[in-house]
Amino acid sequence: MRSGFRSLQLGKWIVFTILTCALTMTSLPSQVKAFTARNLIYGSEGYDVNELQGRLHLLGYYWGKNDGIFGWKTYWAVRTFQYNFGLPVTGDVDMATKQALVKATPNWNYHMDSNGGTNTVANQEGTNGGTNGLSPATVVAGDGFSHGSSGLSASDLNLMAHVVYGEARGEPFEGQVAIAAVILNRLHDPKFPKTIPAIVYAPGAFDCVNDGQINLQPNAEARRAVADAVAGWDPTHGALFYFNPAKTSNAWMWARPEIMTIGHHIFTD
Amino acid sequence: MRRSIWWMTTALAVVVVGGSAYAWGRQQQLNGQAMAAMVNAQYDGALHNALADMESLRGALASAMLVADPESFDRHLSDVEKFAYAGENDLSRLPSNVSADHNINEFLHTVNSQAEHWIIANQSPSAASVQQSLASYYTRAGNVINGLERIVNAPRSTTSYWMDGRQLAPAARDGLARLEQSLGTMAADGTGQQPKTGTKSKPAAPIALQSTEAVKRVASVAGVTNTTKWKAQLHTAGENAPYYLVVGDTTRGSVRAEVSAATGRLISYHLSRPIGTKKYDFAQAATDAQAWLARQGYHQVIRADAGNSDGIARFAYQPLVGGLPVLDSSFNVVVALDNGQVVGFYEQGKLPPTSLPKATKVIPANALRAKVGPKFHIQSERKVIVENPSGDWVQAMAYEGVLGDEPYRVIIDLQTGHELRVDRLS
Repeated sequence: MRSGFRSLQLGKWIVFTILTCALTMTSLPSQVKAFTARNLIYGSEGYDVNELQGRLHLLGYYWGKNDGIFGWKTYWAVRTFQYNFGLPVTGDVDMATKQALVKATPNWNYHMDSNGGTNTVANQEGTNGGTNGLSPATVVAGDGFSHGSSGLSASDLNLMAHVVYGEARGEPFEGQVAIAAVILNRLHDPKFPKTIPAIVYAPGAFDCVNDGQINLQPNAEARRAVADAVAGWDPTHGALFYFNPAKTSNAWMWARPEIMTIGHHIFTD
Repeated sequence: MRRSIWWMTTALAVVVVGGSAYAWGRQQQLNGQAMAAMVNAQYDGALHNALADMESLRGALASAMLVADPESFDRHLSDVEKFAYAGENDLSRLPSNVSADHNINEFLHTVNSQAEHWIIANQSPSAASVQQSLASYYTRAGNVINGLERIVNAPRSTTSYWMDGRQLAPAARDGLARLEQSLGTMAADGTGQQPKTGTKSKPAAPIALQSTEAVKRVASVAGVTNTTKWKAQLHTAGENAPYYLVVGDTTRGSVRAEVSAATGRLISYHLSRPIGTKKYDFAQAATDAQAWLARQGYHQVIRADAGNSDGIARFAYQPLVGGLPVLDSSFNVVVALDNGQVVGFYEQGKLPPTSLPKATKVIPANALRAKVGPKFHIQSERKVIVENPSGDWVQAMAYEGVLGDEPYRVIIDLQTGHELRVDRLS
C-alpha cells in the first residue's frame, strides 16, 4: 500500500517535470545560430557565409542572394558595416566584426533567410548614398581588397578544359597546363583572334576540334591545369604553337624555333 | 528443281546484300559530298566577307585621310575599328594551319588598336605621323584586297576549292600562304606606328646565377635540405629566359620550379602531390600565403583575388608601389587545403614598375567621379597603377561598384581623365 502511494507520488513528479520542461522550452525564444570560430574573407564559402549574408541583409547592408558565397556584394556590405560600426574597414570578417554583427542582429535566425534575397541595389543607397553622396567607407587609400579579373568567362574556362583534355590527356600535368597556356598566349597575341572560342574553333587550329575529341568530358586534372594556367603558370614561356613530332610532317611547324619539349609535345615560338 | 531453287535463292541474296551495300555506300558518299559542300560554302562565305570588310576598311582609311575636321576624323576612325574587327572575325573562320605567320590578323589588330588609341588621345587628323600611318595602312589594305581577290577569282571545279578529301586543297593552301607572305609583318614596316603591347620579347639577359644556386633557391622555398638528386637545366629560349628549370623529389611530392638565371627571381613553383580532404581554414590559408610571399621577399603586396575548388585555394596578390596596387601584375599562390601547404606560385602579367609613375596635373576627384555613368553605383574608389594602351604605367582611379546587379570596375586615368578600361568582376 505504501509502495503504491510512493509510485503515485513519483509519477506525479515525473509528469510535473515533463510539463515544466515543455512549457519552459516553448516559452524560450528560438535559438540564435552563432558563427563558428573561423574568419571569413572574399572567396569563403559555407554556412557561416550564409549567416553573414543573412545578418547583413537584416541590417540593410546586403542586397544580393543568400548563396553562402563571399563575393563582391558581401565584401562591400561588410566594409560598409565595419565603417558604420567603427571597426577597421578591411572587408575581412574577423572575430570583432562577427561579435559586432551578432550584437547588432539579436533577433536574426537562420530561417529568416530561407528564401534568399535579391533586393535591388536601390535598397543599398540608403547606406552608402549612391554615386552622388559617397560614404567615406568607399574611399580606399591603397589598403583594402582589390580584386583581380582574368576577363575569362566560365564558358571560356570550360572550353579550355575541353581542349586540354582532348589534346593532352595522359600527358604530364605541366604538359596539360602548357596547352592551356598556349591558348592564353594566343589570346594576348595580335596575330590571333581575340576570344577563346574563336581561337579554339579557328579551322585547323586544334586537332581535337577536327576529330571531335573536344567533345569529351574533361576531368578534374584538366580543369586544374586550366586554373593554373589562368593563374599565370606558363611552362612554355610564351609558346604560340605546339606539335607532336611523332604525328606531324608539317615542314613549317618543324622549322619553328623550339622553346621546349614537355611530354610528347614540342612547343614553339 | 531443288538445285535451281537453291541457285535462285543464292543469287537473290547476293543481289539484296550487294544492292544494300551499294545503297549504303552511295548514301555515305552523298553525305560526304554534302558535308564537303557545306564546308566549302562556309569557307567561301568567310572569304567573301573578309574581302568585303577589307574593302570597307580601305574606304574608311581613305575617308580618315581625306578630312581635317576632328569630329569627322573620329567618326571615320570608328569605322576603321569596326571593319578591322570584322575582318579579324572573318579571317578567324578560314583555315589557320596553312601558315602560322598570321600577318593579316596582326595588321588588322594593329590598325584597330591604333585607331582606338587615336580616338582616346584626341589625335589631330593633320598630324604628319598620323597621315603617314594611315597611308601605310591604306596601301597594306590594298595588298590584302588584291590577295583575297586572287583567291576569290581562282578557277574552281564544281565540287570543291577548299577541301581535298579531309585535307585543305593545295590551291587554297598555297593561295592563303602567298597572301600571308605578301603582306609582310608589321614589324618590318618602319612607317607604321604600332602601339606597344607589352608582350614583345626582350633580348636575353646575361646569366648571373649558377645551377647549384638555382637548386638552393628552390630547395629553400620547398624547405628541403637534401637535393643530391635534384636537377637544374638552363633554358635560353622563351619569355623570362634565361632561366633554370629545377626538378626534384621531396618526401611530400615532386617539385618543378623555374628560377631566373639573370636575377635569381623565383618565376614559378609547383609541388605535385595528391590533395587530401579539405580541412584547412580558407582565411588561414590566405594569411599563410601572404606570409609565404613575405618569406620570398614580397612584403608589399595586397590580396587581390581568392577562390577555392577541389580542395585547393588560389590567392592572387598585387604588388604595392608607393602604396598603390599594381592591377596588371600579380603573384599567385596556391595552397592545398588538406594541410595548408603552399603547392604553387606563379607570376602573372608584367613585372611591376620600380617606382610610382609620375602624376602631375591630377584631375580633381569630383571631376573624375563625374566621368562615371549615373547608373553605376560606386562601392569603392581608390588610386591604382595600371598599364595604359601605349604600354606605359600610369596612375589611375579605380571605381568599383554595380550596374544593376552586376559588379564592374571602371578605371580612369588620373591625369588625362580618359577611361582606360572597364572590367566585369567575377
